[in-house]
Amino acid sequence: MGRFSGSLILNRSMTSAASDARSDAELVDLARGGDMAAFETLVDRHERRIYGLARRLTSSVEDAQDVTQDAFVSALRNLSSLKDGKSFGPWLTSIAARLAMKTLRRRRDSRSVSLDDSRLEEGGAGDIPHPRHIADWRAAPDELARDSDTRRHLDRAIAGLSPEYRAVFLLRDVEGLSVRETARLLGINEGNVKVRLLRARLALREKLTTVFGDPARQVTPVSHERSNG
Amino acid sequence: MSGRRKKGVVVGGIGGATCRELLAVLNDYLDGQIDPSICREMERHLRKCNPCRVVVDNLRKTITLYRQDGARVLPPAFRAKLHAELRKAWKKRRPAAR
Repeated sequence: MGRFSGSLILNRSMTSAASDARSDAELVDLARGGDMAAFETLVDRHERRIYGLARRLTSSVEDAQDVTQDAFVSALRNLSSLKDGKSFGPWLTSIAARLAMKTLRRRRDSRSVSLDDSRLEEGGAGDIPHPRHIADWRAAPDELARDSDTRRHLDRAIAGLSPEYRAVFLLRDVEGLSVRETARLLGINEGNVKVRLLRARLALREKLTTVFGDPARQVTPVSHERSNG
Repeated sequence: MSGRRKKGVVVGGIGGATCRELLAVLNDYLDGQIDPSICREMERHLRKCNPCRVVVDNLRKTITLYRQDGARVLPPAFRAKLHAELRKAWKKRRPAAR
């Protein structure tokens, strides 16, 4: 019996994947050579990250499950095309992100709206809205992460962003892709990535500060338009 | 939070740069990919402009929170299905595999 049956066995396999000292590159080599257990270890190691990315990109449990499954099946089928086994993680991320964007595009097509909306970049960085709600947060991220409500607030804030901003933020800030990689993956130019990232970061900050900001440490923003010149 | 401008040229704001200018280079500043001289200017501004300092701190915490919360445990039923599908796909590609 393989490691794919029974939740107890699955939980054990997650633990063993985390403690498996072999690198992704070694496991990719073994899997290419026909070692299914090595591929399973790669799946165990990356499945939670890929599922988390898909959940936040699609804002849908059902779509996230489809994306996760399709991403791993695609990785399995195309493992031989991966040039460098060390890049398995980012490669898998790009497969999952492409599938998620395809899902979003399909969803939008049914509403006749283009995903690649050039109006998003109108005005460029110069047109970025100034922060409105400014306050020190009541706790550090580590402490907030222990609060069971925090994930709900994070999910709600990011689901409120347009898919274009959400994708840039998740790929760049959470998955750690470079600006160039993010641009290539989303089919937009690097300037657009930067503008969308700034808008996404500021929008999330604004929303989260209304939840995590300490009212006693609120700061009044001063108008930008004042000029002494 | 203001800056002094003459004919569109910045001649000094709080700490030598304006809040608007900080906003324009915020990504590069947060990512540590900013020109050192502009970085020094921004830090001079941040030392004197409390709202900007708080915004930058909020942004760093926002990114940290999402980064820490990136992974998610798969529902057990879905995980079992996923692994069953992968086993099937593996065997289809490599019939001799065990």
